[in-house]
This record gives sequence, C-alpha cells and structure tokens, in this order.
Amino acid sequence: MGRERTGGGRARSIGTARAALTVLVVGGTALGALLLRPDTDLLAKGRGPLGGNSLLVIGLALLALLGGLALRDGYQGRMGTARRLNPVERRAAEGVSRVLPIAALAVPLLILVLHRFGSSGGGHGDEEPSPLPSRRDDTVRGLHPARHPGHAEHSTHFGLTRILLGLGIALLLVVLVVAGLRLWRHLTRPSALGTAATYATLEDEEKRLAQAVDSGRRALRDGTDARAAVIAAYAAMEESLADSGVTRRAADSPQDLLRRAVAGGLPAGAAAATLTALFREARYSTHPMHAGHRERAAAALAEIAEGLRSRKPGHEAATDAS
Amino acid sequence: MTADAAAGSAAPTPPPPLPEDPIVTSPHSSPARDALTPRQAGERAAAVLEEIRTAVVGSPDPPHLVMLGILAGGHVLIEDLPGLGKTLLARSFATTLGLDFRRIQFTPDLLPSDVTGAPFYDQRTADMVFRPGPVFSQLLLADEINRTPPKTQAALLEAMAESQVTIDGSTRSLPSPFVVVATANPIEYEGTYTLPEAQLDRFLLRVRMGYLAASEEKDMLRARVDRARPEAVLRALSSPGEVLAMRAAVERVEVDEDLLEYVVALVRATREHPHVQVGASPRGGLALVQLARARAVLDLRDYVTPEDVKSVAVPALAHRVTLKPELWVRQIDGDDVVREIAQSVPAPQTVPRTPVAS
Repeated sequence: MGRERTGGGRARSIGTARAALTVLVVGGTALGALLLRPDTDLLAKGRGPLGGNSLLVIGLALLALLGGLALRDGYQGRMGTARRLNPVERRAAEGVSRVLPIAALAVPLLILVLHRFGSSGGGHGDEEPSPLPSRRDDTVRGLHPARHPGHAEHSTHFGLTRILLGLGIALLLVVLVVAGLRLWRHLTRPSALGTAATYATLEDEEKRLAQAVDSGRRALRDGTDARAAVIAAYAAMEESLADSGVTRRAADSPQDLLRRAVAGGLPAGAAAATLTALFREARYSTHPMHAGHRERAAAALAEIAEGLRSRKPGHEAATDAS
Repeated sequence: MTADAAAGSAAPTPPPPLPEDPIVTSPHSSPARDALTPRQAGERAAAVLEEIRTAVVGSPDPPHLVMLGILAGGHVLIEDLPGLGKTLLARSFATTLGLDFRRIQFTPDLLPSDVTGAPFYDQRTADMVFRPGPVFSQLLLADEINRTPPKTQAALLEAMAESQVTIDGSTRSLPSPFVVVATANPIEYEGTYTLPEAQLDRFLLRVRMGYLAASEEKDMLRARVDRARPEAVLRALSSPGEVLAMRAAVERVEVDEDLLEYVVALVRATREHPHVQVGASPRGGLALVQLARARAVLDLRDYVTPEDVKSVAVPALAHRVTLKPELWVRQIDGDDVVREIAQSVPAPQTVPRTPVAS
C-alpha cells in the first residue's frame, strides 16, 4: 500500500516535471516565433511583432545566460553525486559538461549578435514594411467590403489587438516563469535526496514512516512468536524505507538495502543495522528466538522511530541548506 | 613405460611417505582434531588472515577469498598478470596455516610424472621405488599452471577431484588437507595454454588480484624498505589438524531452504543468459553453497544469509561459464555476466513462505 503511494507520488512528480518542461519548450518556441517573422523563410531579414523591442531581446539573452549557467551548475552537481556510471554514461556526461558552458555563453551571444538593434517599430519602418499590418488591413477590408474604413475605427481595432497581444504575452511569460520554477525544483530535488535529506521529505511521508514503525512495534507487542515478531518489525522498517524512496529491489539482500538506506541518510543507522542483523538471524537460522531478541528488535525500532521524529522541519531545512 | 609399470606394480614398495600417511612438517600439526564451533573457526581464520595481511599488502579481498576456498575444502585459482603477488599470497597461506608446502613452476616441457612422481629403479635394493612428486603435499602451489600443455595440466585433475593419484595402476592417497593454489596468467597472455573447462571446474573459486591503489603501492614499498629483507616473515598460527577442524566447522553451518533455491536460481540463470554458451555445472552450485558457508564462518555465524551467496557468486561461478565467442571483442568476461546475474536474480523474500516457529 505504502509502496503504491510512494510509487504514485514519484510518478506524479515526474509527470509534473515533464508537463512543466513541455510548457517551457512550447512557450519558449512561441515566444521565439513572436520575435521572428512567421510568414517568411528562415533567412529573410526582419522580425516579428516583438522583434523591435530591444529591451525584451536583451532580457531574453540575459535569461538564456542565467538559465544556461544554472543548468550547468545543476548538472555538474548531479554528476558529482552520481556514484556509478558505466563508461558510455561517463563519456556522455563529460560531453554534456563541456557543451553546457559553451551553450550557456553561445546562445545569448547569438541572440544579441543576430538581432538588428538599428531599427525599431516592430516591423513598421519605412525601409522594410511588415506584411502583418498589411494583411490585417486586407482581412479587415475583405470582411467589410461595403464599408469605408475610417481612420478612427482602424486605430481602435489596432489598439485592441495590441492590448490583447500584450495580455497574451504577459500570460505566456507568467506560465513560463511558473513552469521554469517547477522544473528548477524538480532538477534540484534529486541531489537533496541523494544526500542527507532522503528522509527530510514531505510531511505525509513522515506520517507513513511513523505508521510503518508503529505497525512493527504492534507486531512486537502483540505477537507471541518472537521470530515472527522480529521478521514483522524488519518488514515494517523495509516498508518505511520504501515509503521514503529506498525501495527494496528484487535482487537486494538485507545488507544491500541497509547500505543504500544508510548512504541515503537513514537516521539511526546503527539501530537499523541491529534490526537487520536480528532479522537475518530470525529469517535464516534455526536459532531459538526468545524475548531478548524481541526486546532488542523493539529497542531498535523505537530508536528508528525517535530518529524519524527528531527530524523537525527546521532541522530538515538546515540539512537541505547544508 | 610398460616395463616400469610392471615393475612398479610388482615392487614391494617401502616408500618414504606412505600414501596413507600425510606429509606433515608443521610444528603445529596434530592428528587430533579438536571440534571447533563455526565462531571459533571464524576467529582462528581471522587471525590467520590478519597475519597474512602483514605480508600481502593491498585489497583484503584476495586473501579473504583464498581463505574461503581453503575453509570450504576446495582448490583456488588465482588469475592475473605477472607480478601482482599471486605466489606470495599462496606461500603466505602455506606458512601461516602451518601446511606442508610444495611448489611446481609449470613450464612447457614439464611432464606429468614431474607433478605426480614416478617409480625409479633403486640399484642397491634392486627394487622399483616410488618417488612422490610435489603433489604429495598439503598445500601445492601450481605456479603459472597455464604455461604447461594440457597433458601435464590434466595430471592434476585426479589429484584435485579425488585427493589421490594413480600411477602405474597403483592408487595413492594424498595428504589431508590437500589444497591446490594455482596461479594463471590471463589467457590472452603470450605463451599460455587455455585451461580446459573440465579442469577449471575443479577449482572451487577463481580469485583476481588486481593492481594496487597508488597509496597501497606506496605502503608496499615502504614496508619493503622498513623490513630490510625481501619478504616478510610470517608466523605459523595454525596446523593441518586445525585446518581440518575449521573445515568440519563449515559443515555445521546451516543453509535455509530458500537460500538453496536462490543458489539454484543463480546457477540456472548462468545457463539461460544470452551471452553464455555453456553455463555453470551443478558443481558450481555446490561450490556456491560451500563458499557461502565458509563466508558465514568468517563472519562468525553458523547460518548462511543471502549476502553470503551473493558475495561469492562471481568468484564461484565466473570461471565455470563459457561465453559466446563474439563477446571477446566486446571485452565482456564471465565476471561481468555473473555480476549482472547476481544483480538481477531475485533474492529470498523478507517474509518466509513457510512460517517458522521460534
């Protein structure tokens, strides 16, 4: 149950990140399209409706620079925490690490170099009249052939279009910022999970951890069979680990799971090791198990529970910051 | 040859070491085998390992694995490039365990009789007298075993499998314990003969030494400078009788039913892996179980856990699988395949399928 919830939570998180990335790409492309001329070929001179706004172009270049640098830092951080890479992945990571800084500088530079700062007016200059207004005029004429388009009416219609266009762009920018923030959170979270903050997770996850530990303690209290109680307590710990993201793989031995959990910042690692040792004895030996084993398992589980409780939000924040 | 055989079989043979008598030269040797618990055996084995580490610098894994092989009652193949300390490791074990030690340097012109021994005519007594070869020892170092042709390699087969040799129709038992620690150069190395699969299968495990880390290599040089002699002097901390007692303790280690199924699953997975032409034999499963039990002893336990099985899967099985020829180009070896299998075959579940009472 807990594992399903965890799996669902992770899937949701990845799904959100993918959606944010999609919005970012589509929105960025749309913004790029607004800066270019949409009805001519790639090499045609000129610009789109926003192309004349030099401030926007410079801002975009700055955004690309900062975004590129942030992406590079994030990537290098993630590669730094990645423990095992096969040769192909290592080569790919090296390649990406070299390309990212170059791209972070090249993209804004190209934006600035390729932009024509000389003219302004969004394509309404004399030397290069934009086809957009002409077409709009033609359309308006086509729709109202009987009327004589007055100058005031035309300017009102044009002003409304500009307002709607401005609102649309503002909305697009807001969506892009939100999507960017979500993507940033997703990109920065794995490094936090990989270190001490594996257990510094959301509040509901902590509740599930505590519930799992409680169920193990109940098994220790209620059960008459010490062996079954120790195994149940370990199973509860395993479930709590799964809830916090350290799921037991099919080929994992108890020691493998413990090693991964400790590497991921498991609180009360010594208690977890004790419980693992007790479990191994209970599960794979025919040694008589008695109340002493049950008590040690209970003490270990209590220590794990205490470790989980001691992770206050403030402590988590401090851990995250470090 | 025929005359020799006839003479050999007719000879009254007062051989210096009778086949039944183990060749014992260690000061600690004692025929009495005090029963050891797995924990006691593990503690003594740990002491031996500690002593060996004073001479063999570097990763603790190779000595640990050789010790597992000796405890599990098998023979050990140490395979790696020349100069990595293979011979030193084998000799260190012989000294520290107090075992009678012989060494054969395998060369292309070595004959089977140079390994097993041969009868010769004693002119004083006019009798054929059997002169035992180096195989009549408790720890035989077969150095660079793959430098000799298959015929001579095969001379060791019977000795390794059955602890006896048959010469001129007469079967002679080898001393107990009898351990072969063979060293081999990688098969790609020039001037080597590939060990046949049948012989590889006789080795309980294969150990790779590997290069030392820079700091370890420096430590090794520092140790050499400090001791002012070529090799470290080791103490004999055990005896043949104690080695046998430690082996008996390994036999007392229990193995859960689920773990036996896990071992079978691992062995069968080697036969079904797409990269493997010939998978591990049932002997591979036996080796895996015995090595896992020996590892439990070294960990002072009398029961096997999944970690024990997993951690010895590569040394126990990798040399028993024959990969498809095309994988040679891709630089994939048996170790890689078995490692992948160990990472993919499901280990026993947390909750036992059949409830067990306290």
